[in-house]
Parts: sequence; C-alpha cells; structure tokens
Amino acid sequence: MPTWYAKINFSNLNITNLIFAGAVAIIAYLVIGPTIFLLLSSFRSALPTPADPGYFTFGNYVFAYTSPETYQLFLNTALFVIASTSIAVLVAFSFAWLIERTDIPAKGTLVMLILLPAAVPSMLMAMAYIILGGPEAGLLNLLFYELFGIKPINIFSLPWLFILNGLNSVPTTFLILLGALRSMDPALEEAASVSGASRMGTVRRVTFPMMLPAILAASIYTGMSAAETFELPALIGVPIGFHVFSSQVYLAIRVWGNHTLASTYSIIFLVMLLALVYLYQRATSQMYRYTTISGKGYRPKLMAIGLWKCPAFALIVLVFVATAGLPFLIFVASSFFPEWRTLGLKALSQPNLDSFREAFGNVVFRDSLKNTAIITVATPLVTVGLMSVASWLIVRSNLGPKAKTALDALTFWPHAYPGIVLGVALLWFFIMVDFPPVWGTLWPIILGLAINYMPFTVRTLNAAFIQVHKELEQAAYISGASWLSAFRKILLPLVMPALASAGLWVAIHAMRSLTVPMFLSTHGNEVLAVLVWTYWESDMVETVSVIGLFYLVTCAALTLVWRRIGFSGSVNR
Amino acid sequence: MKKKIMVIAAILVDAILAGLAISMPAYAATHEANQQALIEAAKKEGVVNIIAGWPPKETKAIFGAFGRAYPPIKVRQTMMSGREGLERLRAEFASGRRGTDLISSSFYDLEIAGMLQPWKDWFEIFPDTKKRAVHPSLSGALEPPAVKGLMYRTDLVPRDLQPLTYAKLSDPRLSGGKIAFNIRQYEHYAHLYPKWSDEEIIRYAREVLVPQKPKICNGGAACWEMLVRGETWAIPALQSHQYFSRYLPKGIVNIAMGSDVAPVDEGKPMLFLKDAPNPNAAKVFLYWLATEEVQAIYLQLRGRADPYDANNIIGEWMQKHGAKLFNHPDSEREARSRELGAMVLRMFGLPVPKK
Repeated sequence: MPTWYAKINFSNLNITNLIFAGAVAIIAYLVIGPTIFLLLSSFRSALPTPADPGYFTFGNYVFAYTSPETYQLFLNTALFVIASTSIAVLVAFSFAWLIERTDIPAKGTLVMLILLPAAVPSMLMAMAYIILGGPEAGLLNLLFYELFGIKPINIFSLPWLFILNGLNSVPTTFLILLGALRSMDPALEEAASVSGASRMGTVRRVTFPMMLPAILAASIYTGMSAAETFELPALIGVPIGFHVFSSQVYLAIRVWGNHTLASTYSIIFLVMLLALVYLYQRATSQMYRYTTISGKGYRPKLMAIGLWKCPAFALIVLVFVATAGLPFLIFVASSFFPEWRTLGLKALSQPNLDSFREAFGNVVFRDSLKNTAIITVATPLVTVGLMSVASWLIVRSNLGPKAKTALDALTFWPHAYPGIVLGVALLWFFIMVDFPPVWGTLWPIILGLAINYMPFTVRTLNAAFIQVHKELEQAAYISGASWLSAFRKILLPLVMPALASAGLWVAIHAMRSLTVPMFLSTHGNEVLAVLVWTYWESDMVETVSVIGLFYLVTCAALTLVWRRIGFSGSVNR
Repeated sequence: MKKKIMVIAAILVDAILAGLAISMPAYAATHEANQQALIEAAKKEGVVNIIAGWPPKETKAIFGAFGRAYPPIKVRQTMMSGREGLERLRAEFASGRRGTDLISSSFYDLEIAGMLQPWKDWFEIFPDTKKRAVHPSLSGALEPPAVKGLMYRTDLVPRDLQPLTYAKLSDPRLSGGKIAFNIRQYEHYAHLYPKWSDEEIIRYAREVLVPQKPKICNGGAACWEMLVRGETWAIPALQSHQYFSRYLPKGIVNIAMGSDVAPVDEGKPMLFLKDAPNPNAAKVFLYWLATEEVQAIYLQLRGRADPYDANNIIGEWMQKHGAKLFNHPDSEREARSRELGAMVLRMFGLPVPKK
C-alpha cells in the first residue's frame, strides 16, 4: 500500500494532488465567489453604466426593511410554502403508504405513474394550466361555455397555485417517504394489528408517529423547494398580485431594472432558506433515533385494502393525468390547433402544422436547441467530474474531519441557493470579476447549473463511494497502481451506475432549468427554457406549445432511462 | 469700362457655374463613396445584433428582406421587451462584453444611462433618407442635431391626447379605487411631449396619482391581466387585439376604449448603442429600416395607418369583430372615454364606479 493512501501528503506536487487541489479550488471559487459578489452588490446603488458608476449605500436594505411589501413577502412565501408542502406531503405519503404497505396491484406501473410527472417542468405545467383554465379563453372554460354557458374555472387564484405546486412536488416527496417507509420495521404495525387495532388506527397510532421524523424531513425539503420555486408563482401568482421572494427578485431586475435591490432581496431570501437548511439537517440527523429496521428477516406484511384498491388506483392515475397527461395533451392541442384562441372548439376541425413551421423555421429556436443540447451534455460532465473528486476526498481520503466537514459544507451550500438567486449572484460575479472571461458564452450557464446541482450529486456519489469497500482500492495500490489509475480502473467502474444516475438527473434538470440561465443569457447563448419564457411573455402560446411538447417528450424519455439505470427505490416484489 | 465689367461678371458667373458643375458630381461621388465604404465595412462585420420584440413571423419577413438587400449581413434578434433589454444592456455595459448593436426600447432610460450614441453623418451618407416615408412611423425619429435612433411607429398619438390621458386618471371616481397606471407611458410621453417637463410629471404623480394609490404597472401583459380582472377600467392600450383575443376569443364589439386610450401602437424607437460591436452593420440596418420598402413590409405585417383597412392585421381584426374606433372632438372625448371605460367593465361583468 503506498504511503500516501494511509496519509496523503498534500505538500507533494504531483498529478494526484494537482487534481485534488484544482477541484477544491474550482469548487470553492464557484461557490464562494458569487456569494461574495451577491453580498457586495446589495450595498451598491446600481449596476454601473457609462453615465453612472454607482456608489456604496445601505439604501437597498433600508428600503427593503422599511417597506411593508417586504413583510408581505415573508407572509406570502410562508403561506405558499406551507400550503403547497402540505398538499405534496399528504399526497406523497398516501401514495408511498399505498405502494409500500398495501396489496394494491401493478405497483411497478403505479410507481412509474407517480414518478413520471417529475419530467414535467413546473414552468410548462403552469403554462399548460393557464391554456386550460384561463378565465376567459381557457380550453376547459370554452368547453363548459359551449355546453352549459358558464366559465367555471379561474386558474389565476391561490388555491390553484397551491395545488399545482403541491402536485408538482409529489414525485420527489414520494421518493423520500418511500425510502423511509421501506426502512421501517413492519413488526410494530403487525403487533398493533394483533392487539386488535383497526387498520386506520394502526396507520394513525403506529405508522404515522413512527414516520413523523421522516415526514418532517420530507416536509422541510419540499418546503425549501417550494420557497425556491419561481415559475409557478411568477406565472400564476404575480398576475393576481401574490408576490413571493422568488418572483420579487425577478421583478426587481426585469420590471424595475434594479439589480442591486434584487441582490438585497436575494440576500434576505438566502438567509431565510439557510434557516430551513439548518432545520433540515437537524431533522435528518435525528432520524437514526427512529430506525426500526433490524438485522432480522425483513419482510413487511401487506395490508389488504379490499375494495379500496379501485379508488386508490384511480387516485394515482388521476394525479398522473393532472400533472403529466393533461399538460401533454394541452400542448398537443395548442400546437396542432393553433386557431383555438380565436375559433374556440371549432378549431378542432382545422389542424395544421403552422406552429411547428414557425418554431423550426426560426434561427433563434434552432440555435437555442443546439445550446440546450450542449448544456445538457456538458453540465453533467462538469458536475459529476468535480463532485467525484470532492466526494472521494470526503468519503475515502485521510483528510482531517474539519477539512472534510468544510468540503462537505462547501458542496452543500448551494442547496440553500434558489435558482433565481444563484442567477443574480452569477450575473454579478461573471460581470464584475471577468475571470474566467467567459461572459457571453455557454460557460456561465454550465458552471451556474453545476453549482446548482452540486449538493444532489455529491450526496449521491458519497453514498456510492461508501458502498465500495476500501480493500478493492488497496489491492490496486499494493499492485503498484497510482491513485488515478485505481480511481479510473477500479472505483469508477464500480460506481458507474451511481455516476450515470447522478449525471442523468443533472442532465434532465439542466435541460429544463430556467432560473439560472435567465439572467446569464446574452446574444448567442440562449437556451430553450429562456426562449419558452420569452415567447410566453410575448403571447406566442402556440410556439411555446411546440417547444413544450419537445421538452415533455425528451424529459420523459430521459426520466425513464434515469429510473431504469439508477432509481434505488425499486418496489418490484 | 462697362464692357470690361460685363466680361468680368461673365467670367465670374462662368467660374461659379463651372465650380458648381465640378463640385456637384464630386459631392455626389463623396457621399456615394462614403455610402459604399459604410456598406463594405458592414459586410465585413457580417452581423447586426438587435434586441426587439418582433415575433418570428415579422423577423422572417423583415430580416429576410434585409438579407436579400445586403446578402452577407445577418440580423440576429434577441426577443425581449424594452425593459428586459435594458437590464440585459446594463449587464453588457458593466461587463464590457458588448453584444448588442441596436435596441428597441425607451429613449429616456437609455439616454439617462448614457448608453446611446449619435449617428451624426446619417444624412451626409444617405441623403436620400426620407423623413416622411410611406408610413408615418418615421416622423419622430430623424431629429437634429444627431440621430440616436429611429422612431418607427405604427401610428401617431395626437399631441392633444396626452393631457387627457393624465386627466382621466385624476377622475374623482377613481379616488380610493384600484387603478392601474402604465408607468412606461410616463417616460414615453415625456419624451414625445417635451412640454411636460420632468418636474411637471413628478408633480403630477405626487399630487394627482399617488394620493389615489394606483397600482403601478410597467405596461404590457400585467396591465391587461389587471384590466381583465377589473382592477382597472382603462389603461393605455397596446396591441389590444392580441390580449383581447386571448381572453375573449369570441371577439368584442365596440371595444374601442376611449380616444385617449385608443388602441394605437406606441412609438418604437430603434436605438443605436454606444460602442456597438458592429456599428457599420447597425447603421446600414437603421437606414434600411427607414426605406419605403421596409415601411411597406412593416405596414403590411403590423401597421395600421387605417384601422378600417382590412389589408393589415389590425384592420382585419377590427373588421372581423365589428370593432370601432372613436375620433371625437375634445369636448366629447372625455365623456366618451368614461362611457367606454364603463362599457369595458360591463362587458367583463364588473361593477362600474358611480360618477
């Protein structure tokens, strides 16, 4: 065994140390740099222009903290988070319980139906529902009007906003809760059942209390995601005057043209989310106290739900239809029947491909498509590449505990960053630092997305590295292999499924990300998500539908591949 | 002596005539040479990057025609509103990495930010530029001492309408009520109507608008959402056909708003940016936009010299839905606009404020 394995000598200048140092330096630079510039910019009067270089001021903070609107933002954000998280957790827990603890049929298919909506970007979901339930010209309203003379749905309302965001979060929340349910020893439920407790009594008095920490952790995670969500509040909330922090940051830049105030709102928002991250870490660190899985044979007895199978099955299918099926159908209808807004249902008799011609005939669309493809490939490569090294250092190196904790915290820090705040921070960073001089290319977007997906990637890889025993590497070292070749030839092949899974997850999210590229787009580096947003704002609904269709099909295909190669929560029993 | 004077005078006249005869072609040759040099330089640049809101159907026609006129030069549009474009430009200027040559945005914001650049020798290079083209969109643009941009407009807002727009907002019926005020119109009108100084506008906002606690709106879709929800009863209209067709696809009869909020398109300046990366291509494109050919294309695509002319899209929409515009004298206009505002509310089934 080479001595460096037992104790890496970081003072040596060799290729291994260069890789370590380079990766850590890049991660630190990309994570800390934008944060510093975000903070500094919040104390500036304006983004410099030829006529106004700007000056140092506390004015933005004074404005923000003396404005009643800011306190309304806190309330609105809290309301949005609580309401949509409650819906997500309720639905997800019900689904996880049905899948894991009952004899509901076709579990594999049902899990697929629950997870597939993860492929639907929330931006497209909101747009689809506006097309469907717009107060006057929504397709569903038109149908009701033709049949009954009424227009009953108004998507521009708070209940719809909460429901849509809640349903959009179900797949992720479901995955978290499913894992927790699987690791819970069903013997306790069986004991309750033997002691005469009813089915629902067992769920209420045993399952639910045992799951409470996991539910709490899932709730905080989902709540953080809800707080970070921008698209749904911007598309449905803002038109009815319901502003949350994420939409306020957007409005500060795009509508008021005030970059520095946007930075101030971002900092306030960031501090709020850091509190949630702290809570989340506390909640997950306490979860071991409730671990009930043991070394004994683990085979949960499934609860027979009898006639309830049908409504339970129908409920899962209904949520799938609402979150994935309908958006798909709406985009199909709007793409192939572009006259629907002026002709109503009569448009169904006039299908045409005009929207497709308009989209694909547009050079900006073609360029955006190419850029999106590059980003979809490059972002996972950069993210997984950097995080592989970071994860190895955290899990397998002989770094001191403090250094490991620092590196772990560094890679987890972006978890507190909402995409829109990260976009603002990176805008300032790349404009003012100009190192690397990549502004105007695709690199700011790729690096921004890499930062955004660091926490997920490093956690996935940590889990994978832990599972590979050190003996395998040690055997390689004894045989004279260098760290690089042992990493490349032994470790990487063994963790390849995890790498591929993490990479695909990053690719899917990078492809549809709007908030990070939104502020980093310039001439020539536009991506499809930004183009969709621009076209929507320009009322080009039919072209949006064409791009939306493309997105849904591609994301769904990638999600299926991702699930096939990497999803760990298999329920094929 | 007299004969001598006559001979001298004749020689002088001949000399002047000869000088003129020589200098005219020379002048022509100079501007043609300058023109050619500019076009050649533009072709070498090969691209002009603009920020504007032309939808793909329009870019296809307009950029396609430009491509045919100046084959090697490509026009690349980033589709954005003026406000978003300004935000993009701030980033460009701050980074020093410039990409945009021209932008369709507010004169006011860009001038204040010091982002504009005058093109001083436009008329020396292109003396054939018509200040009044087939379409009225040019009239606001070609102002001395130097052209900073081309104001292309699909219609003109008569000057006398501007005070009425403000007057309407001071209508006591709106006190305490929810109204939307299109803040962009301030800047726009302030530029178009210099008789309203900044001080006057600020005074007006402070004394008339602020006490009413209006919802400040930047214009565009958000204002229309508010209109549809009944939070306002009238706002300056912009591309109303799009938004009304979105919400009321069956069409509106007598939509028309008031004269002071008649659906005339606002001015659209195409502004020449300081230190544009492709300045020559940008100038050629600006000049070309002012030609009759482009004005005719633009009129056909979007313009509306006559809203009752079904040959353009707005006229076609007006005719299809039986919509009418109003063109009453001032004395009737305000009353009419109130009546129409109430009509809009009734059409949406919303309560009409009492007088």
